[in-house]
Amino acid sequence: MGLINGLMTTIKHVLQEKATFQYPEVERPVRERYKGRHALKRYDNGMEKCIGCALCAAACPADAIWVEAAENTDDERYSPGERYAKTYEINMLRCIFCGYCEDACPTEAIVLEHEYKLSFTDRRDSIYTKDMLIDPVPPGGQDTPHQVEPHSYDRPIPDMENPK
Amino acid sequence: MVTIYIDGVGYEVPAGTNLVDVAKFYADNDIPVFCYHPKMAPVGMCRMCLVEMGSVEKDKESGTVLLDEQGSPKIRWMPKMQTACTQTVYDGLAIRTNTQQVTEAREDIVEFLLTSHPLDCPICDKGGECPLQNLTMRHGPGVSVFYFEDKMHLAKHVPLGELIYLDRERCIQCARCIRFSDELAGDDVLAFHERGRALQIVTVSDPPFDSKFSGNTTDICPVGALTTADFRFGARPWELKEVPSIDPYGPEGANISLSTRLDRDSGGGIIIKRVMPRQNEHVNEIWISDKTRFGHHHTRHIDRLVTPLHREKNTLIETTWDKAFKQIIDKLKGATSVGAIAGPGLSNEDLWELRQLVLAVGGSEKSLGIWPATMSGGEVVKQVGIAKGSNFNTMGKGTVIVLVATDLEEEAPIWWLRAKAARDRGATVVVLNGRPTKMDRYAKFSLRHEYGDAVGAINSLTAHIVNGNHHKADRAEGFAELQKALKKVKADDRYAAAAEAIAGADNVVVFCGAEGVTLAQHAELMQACANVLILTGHVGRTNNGLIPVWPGANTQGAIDLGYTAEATAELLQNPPAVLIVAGCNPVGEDIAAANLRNADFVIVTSQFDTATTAIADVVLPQQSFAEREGTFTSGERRVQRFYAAQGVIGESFPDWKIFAQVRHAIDKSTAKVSAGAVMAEITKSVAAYSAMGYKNLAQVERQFPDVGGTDQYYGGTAYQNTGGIGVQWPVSAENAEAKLNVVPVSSEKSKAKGLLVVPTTLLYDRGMLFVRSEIMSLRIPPAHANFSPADAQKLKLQDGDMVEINLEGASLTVQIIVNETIPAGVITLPKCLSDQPGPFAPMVAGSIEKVAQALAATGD
Amino acid sequence: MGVSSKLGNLGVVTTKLEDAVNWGRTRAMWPMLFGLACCAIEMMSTQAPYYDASRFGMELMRASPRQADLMIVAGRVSRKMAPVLRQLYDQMPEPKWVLAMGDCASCGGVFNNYAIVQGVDEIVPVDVYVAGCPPRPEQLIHGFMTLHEKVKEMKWYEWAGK
Repeated sequence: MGLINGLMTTIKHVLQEKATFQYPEVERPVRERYKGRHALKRYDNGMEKCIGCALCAAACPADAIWVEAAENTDDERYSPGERYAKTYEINMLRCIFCGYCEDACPTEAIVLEHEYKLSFTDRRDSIYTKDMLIDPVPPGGQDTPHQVEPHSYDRPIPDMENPK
Repeated sequence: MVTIYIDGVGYEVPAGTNLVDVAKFYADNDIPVFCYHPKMAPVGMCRMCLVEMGSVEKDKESGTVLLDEQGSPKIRWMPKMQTACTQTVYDGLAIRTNTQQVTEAREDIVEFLLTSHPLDCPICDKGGECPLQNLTMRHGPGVSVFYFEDKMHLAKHVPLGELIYLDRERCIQCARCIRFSDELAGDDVLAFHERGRALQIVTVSDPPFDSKFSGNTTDICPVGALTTADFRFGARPWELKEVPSIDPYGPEGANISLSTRLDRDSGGGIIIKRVMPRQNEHVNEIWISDKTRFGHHHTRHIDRLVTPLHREKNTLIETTWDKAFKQIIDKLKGATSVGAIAGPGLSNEDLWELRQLVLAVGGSEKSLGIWPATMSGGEVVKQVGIAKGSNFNTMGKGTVIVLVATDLEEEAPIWWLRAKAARDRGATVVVLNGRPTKMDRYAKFSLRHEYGDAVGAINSLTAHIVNGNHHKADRAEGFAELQKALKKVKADDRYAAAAEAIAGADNVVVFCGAEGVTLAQHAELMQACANVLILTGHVGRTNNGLIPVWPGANTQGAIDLGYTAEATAELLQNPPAVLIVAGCNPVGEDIAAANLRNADFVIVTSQFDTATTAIADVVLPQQSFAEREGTFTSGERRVQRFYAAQGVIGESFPDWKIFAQVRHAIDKSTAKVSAGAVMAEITKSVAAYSAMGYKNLAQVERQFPDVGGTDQYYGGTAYQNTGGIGVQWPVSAENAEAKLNVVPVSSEKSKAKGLLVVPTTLLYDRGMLFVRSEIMSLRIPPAHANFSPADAQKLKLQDGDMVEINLEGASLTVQIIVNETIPAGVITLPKCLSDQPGPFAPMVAGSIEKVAQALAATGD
Repeated sequence: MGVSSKLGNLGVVTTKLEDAVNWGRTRAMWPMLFGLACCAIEMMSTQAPYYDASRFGMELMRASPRQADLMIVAGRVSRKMAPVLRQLYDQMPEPKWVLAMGDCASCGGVFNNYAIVQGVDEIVPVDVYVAGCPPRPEQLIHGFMTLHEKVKEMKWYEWAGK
């Protein structure tokens, strides 16, 4: 009798729907607030949101972010403010995907997206540069640097809503 | 000492000091300030320092402090709050800083300042070390009743000259920059324009912000309104690692802090992002000149030599250290005569190892030369140099500062700044020079003498002192001869008043330069200055003595270790078989060094290709001051340490290591492994340096006033001194028993006829290191010579003409400037401004030919 | 290297053998039971039915290094643990692979201090680094896939080295 009872359990589970996610063939969608690989955002006209303030680097508990800033000119304008990130690198193997950089960013330029396929055979490959991180230019936009009319951007950082 | 009460607690503090400084230093009570700065006179503009103030009630008859029921002193409070920064402490002063009234006042001031301050902090260079940011965090209201939309929008990028940028929005109108330039630097270059909300800072000079101290305004700016072009957006302050260092250019030994950071652009190495002053109240307080601040670019310049070079078939080609060493060792072993010329930027350790090497291969002290070889008188300094513990901060009324044959602002800007500050406190300034300099504006006695007659001028002073019976001969040895010699001197009446002032002063400091003085005359000039000091008794006491305005950062150290300018002169005359030139460029700078080509074998250590490396047989890449450890000795004989800050460029080595290894191969002596070990050997061998171990040199002390440090109320984290304040060695005059030599000096003028070419020193020149800072290129003037109007007329020249000046076989092409301040018969020719070598000693000009007409535009 | 460099491409037989052996290796990599910290929880989850590593022939976490092919370093390795880790690695039979799971094993992660090995590649040769803190099971499986790709690229003359 015990034997039949035991087999019944087995048979019951065989008939049930399979629990296993068939990764990598089937990718299970992640939650909306999942924190995966970073992306640097652009405005609709293609300008970079990042102003190179390095607050993300300061907030980073793992020291995974490296920013070097430079000054925008009207002939070569990357971001609407005075300053832009000349170098922007994130070491994915250092990053702990805590999202502090997102919180620290004053212009919402850095966002942790849903990409999680991050395995490397060489440690050096884990350093993502600005070209790899930045979003593609949105339709109708233009890739940076832009050449703009003098004084069309004279705010140090793009205008934001009142802090609340 | 007086007693003051801060928040009910009594403190003993020195009388006459400023309340804000005292509260911070003694009571650890930070009274917030914006416009006040401890180094400048208070103005009370920003009202941030409002505190409740009162006085202790005292019994009218007995003067004892009245006590209340609790036993604490009874205080009569003023009805309204007062600014603490405009208050000097007096006995019985009481303040309250922790009441609701004070807290609210602070909140209101911060809120008000923020109504027109932009929210730039994320991109602002000051963000992270900003007093406004710090004070807002600590005393700000958190919320504002004002509308953010109503903020002023003003120009963000206003160049005040090519070095400093102004951000009009950020400015909170504290006027620190204006007051610094006006009061301390003496340059009337910045001013307020308009009034009220439209008030703005403008520069009123041409070229804009024409000051040698402009960078200091960015340090003292309490917001990010002033930024340097050099550091603009370079890094965030919290990412920087501060490395203590010493100014590699001037004899003042200014303490600096090298802010370093990794940099992707330069291949991922650690580089210097900016140079900041480091507080040392004995040396530079918190100021540095723009040359020090912006002149660091040579340390990582693309042209730096990275490998040893040796000569093969008349060209220099790359080689390895092993091969270069072998070549050097072979030559040195068989050398019939050896000599060395040491540059101004060599540390004491380098100089010591070079000296040991030269002595080991048969050289003598007579073959150790310094560069630039314009000044002499090391022995005089040993006797009557400025006494240990002297400090310009403590000089004021009763002090006489004498400037002899020097343009102090150009040669030693920090000394100029501090001497001027002493003058503003009441010191008397006496200037003796052949032409007016900037110090003449502040001098009580501006005494002009003929160029070449500086010794005669000092002799006149001495004669007046002796004739007027102002002298004290008790310590003077050889006074009888001097007196005899002075009888022949015709004392010039113009010097009488100055002589009296010097004799009657409490303290006398003499700055002795070498403008218009030959090397031989300079030895006499230094002795003449010493005579004055000894005969008036102004030696061996604090704030008394002689400061030679040496041409290099470590010339004093070189002289202490046995190097002399006389030896250089001899080496230039008769070059030895093997010559070592370390860290300098004699051939490219001085026409007298052309002879060096005749040396059989020339070894050069250098950071760059120069005219001297062009004649070298072996060139070794040396490290800049930023890559290694070492010590410099300032003109006030303060030995100070600098630390390794940036990554090593190429295969370069510090000079001491190069020379130690060569010596090791020759005499099998143990090669030292660290700069500290070399210094340990110096402490054992050189008496004056016995206390100069690295441990002693790294000692720091708490300094008053407290600027920088952890709270950063005065901007910048770099003021804090963590690297050591240095140690001075005492002069023999400080031993009260010691007899001091007074020696009669001849005041014979040269008899040669013709126009006298006087080389002068400019702060911004084309020296091999400074010229690499491209940011300063607009400040370096073109090669020029100053003619007096009379001479220009005689030669039919006008302002802007190009002329060829012929001098003893060499000729120089320069632009001429007609300058009324130049006396007739003299041409002043700034050194190191062109690629051609120029004269370093005054000499009579040969023919002068016009080679090009002035452009019409430059004529007016 | 010797034979192939002397004889050149040995043609059908070796190529097929390479592929067959490499395929075989990817299908039965027994991981070693080496959970060190939080990453181990995710490693367990990878083994559990939702992700089921036995789909890749990795169902057996061996406690003995003698029976393991793949060392998954799951977690931060302290300096004291380092020699142990090395010893276990040495005891594993050839061919063997190492997968550094998570930031700490890969490069020290947030623990940039004297107590933690700044990346296990200081002590053992690492084949694959998996980012994440900790990596979710998918990320670990992605790491396995990366490793499989790497193994499939191996040449027969490299076998001895592995």
